[in-house]
Amino acid sequence: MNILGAFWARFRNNRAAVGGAVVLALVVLLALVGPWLYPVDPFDMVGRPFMPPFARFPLGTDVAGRDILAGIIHGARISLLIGVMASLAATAIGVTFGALAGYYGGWIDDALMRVTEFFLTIPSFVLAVVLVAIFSPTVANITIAIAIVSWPSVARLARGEFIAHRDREYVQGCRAIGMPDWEIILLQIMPNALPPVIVVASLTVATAILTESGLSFLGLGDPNLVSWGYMIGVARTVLRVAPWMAAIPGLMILVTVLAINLVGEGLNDALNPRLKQR
Amino acid sequence: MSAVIEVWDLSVHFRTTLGVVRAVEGLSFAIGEGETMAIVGESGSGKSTVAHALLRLVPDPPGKIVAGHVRFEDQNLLDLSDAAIRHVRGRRIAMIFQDAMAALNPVFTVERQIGEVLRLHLGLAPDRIAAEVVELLRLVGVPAPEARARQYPHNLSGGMRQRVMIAMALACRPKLLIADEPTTALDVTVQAQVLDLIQSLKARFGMAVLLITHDLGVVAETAHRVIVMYAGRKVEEGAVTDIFADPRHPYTRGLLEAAKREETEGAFLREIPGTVPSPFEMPKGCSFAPRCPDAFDRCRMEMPELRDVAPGRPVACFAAQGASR
Repeated sequence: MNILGAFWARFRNNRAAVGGAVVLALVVLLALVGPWLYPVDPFDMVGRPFMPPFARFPLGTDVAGRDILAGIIHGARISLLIGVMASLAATAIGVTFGALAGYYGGWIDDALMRVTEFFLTIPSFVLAVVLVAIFSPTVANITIAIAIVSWPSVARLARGEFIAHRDREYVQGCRAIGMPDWEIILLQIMPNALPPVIVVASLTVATAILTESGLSFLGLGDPNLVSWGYMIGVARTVLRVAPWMAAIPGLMILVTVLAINLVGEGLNDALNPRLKQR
Repeated sequence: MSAVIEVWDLSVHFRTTLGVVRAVEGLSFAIGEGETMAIVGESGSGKSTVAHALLRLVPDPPGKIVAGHVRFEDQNLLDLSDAAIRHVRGRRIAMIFQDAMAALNPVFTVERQIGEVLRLHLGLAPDRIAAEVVELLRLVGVPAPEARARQYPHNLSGGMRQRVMIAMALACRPKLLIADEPTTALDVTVQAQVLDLIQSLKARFGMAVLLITHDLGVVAETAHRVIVMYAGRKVEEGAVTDIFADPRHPYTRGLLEAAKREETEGAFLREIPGTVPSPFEMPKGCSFAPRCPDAFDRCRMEMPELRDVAPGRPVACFAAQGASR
């Protein structure tokens, strides 16, 4: 409790982060209870196409007469789901690689880091496109593809943290009391190495949402689900006639990604207080 | 007196990009039951490496124990499997470190950290662990142990942290305690308290102690016997009283001179001229020859072997005589 209280006190100091957290909470709320409050199927052609906002539907209709508000609500679910799951998966892979490479060093480090660098040298969005194009574009495959292109940066960060900690005396102390390596890695170093990793993981959520939007925009999204990127892709051809059609989902992506970035900054301040003290 | 631990011909090398560093070379010694053995030497003499090597804690790479035999409880510690050596570490041989702040994990409470040892080696249930931790803290003289157990390392003073680390080391009643510069990071007054504590606990549990230090004052107060190390080798060994009264190796004499602060009041602090030679540019003969006031030609050509100048007094010096000089 004490630790959480101190964490919150530091987080609260960053007003932008608190603002970001509020906005993010609203988006999450929209995704959670939206379909229940506004039960319209986003694929139903409910009205005439090209209806502007506030005419008959709150945010108007798209080129096929589908309700844009319903699309925004369902798109929020997909964006957040893919963003969070891809970030968790990328963090899991990255931390595993980074921890083993950093703790053991030597040839294990060399081998794991060569693999990591191999992924870092490939443009991540192109790799994601290729992966989704090869496997079918389902939510699970898109999540996995985004995780595969996002983990290397987490791995490098975690490796650095583990290198910084592995020769510290408390780790020596753990060895000196006969603790096995896996316990030292998981239970002793991990809690010390985690704060910067959490910050990067939160920012990875934002990039994952952007990547997912990009994939959907190119038509590589899950065809059975509406996502914000898909909506922009559909509206692209009518941008001059009906700018709102692309602008509304675009604004949602902007606001959500910005909010997550602000929260990430706040986490950084709260978890690494030394960096801020000047 | 039977030996708790016997070390024969221990050599530890570090491979670096500049070459091989012979941190410890051909070191042999034995520690008797209930005995306190001190290893003294300057920074870079290899004394801490010895402490780490006994528990196979030398980081590999770059370090490697290239030769030696360490007999402890009828086993060669250097031959044990990784799992087997873990059962020795913390249970039969415990270690305390110089900087207790760095040696304790900042994110866990005192209780959790002392409890680790009890859980790892004795497999105690959580409620027993809590009680045992309080008991151990009381044993090492931590006031209000129940409250302290729930605190984090940064909540404690330096002396308290050292006591916590000693409590951790004693949790399984080890036969040998390795203390690597246990008082260097502490105030003088706290130093004395911590040394007294180690002394009294040693007597109470019948532990042997290997004390690694550069502080001859600490040696004089606590040790029975002392090994003087220079550039990775033992240059002299003997009972503390003999070494202090009648040092035979010029390096030992230099150390003692440098330590005589009170007597030389007003005069310049005596020091040994020069520094420990670079591990990559070891002199051909005796490694102390370039700094030695008594060195002659043979010293610069040939490495002196250890030889007994008196019973139980091996010295590695051509100039050392059988009788007192």
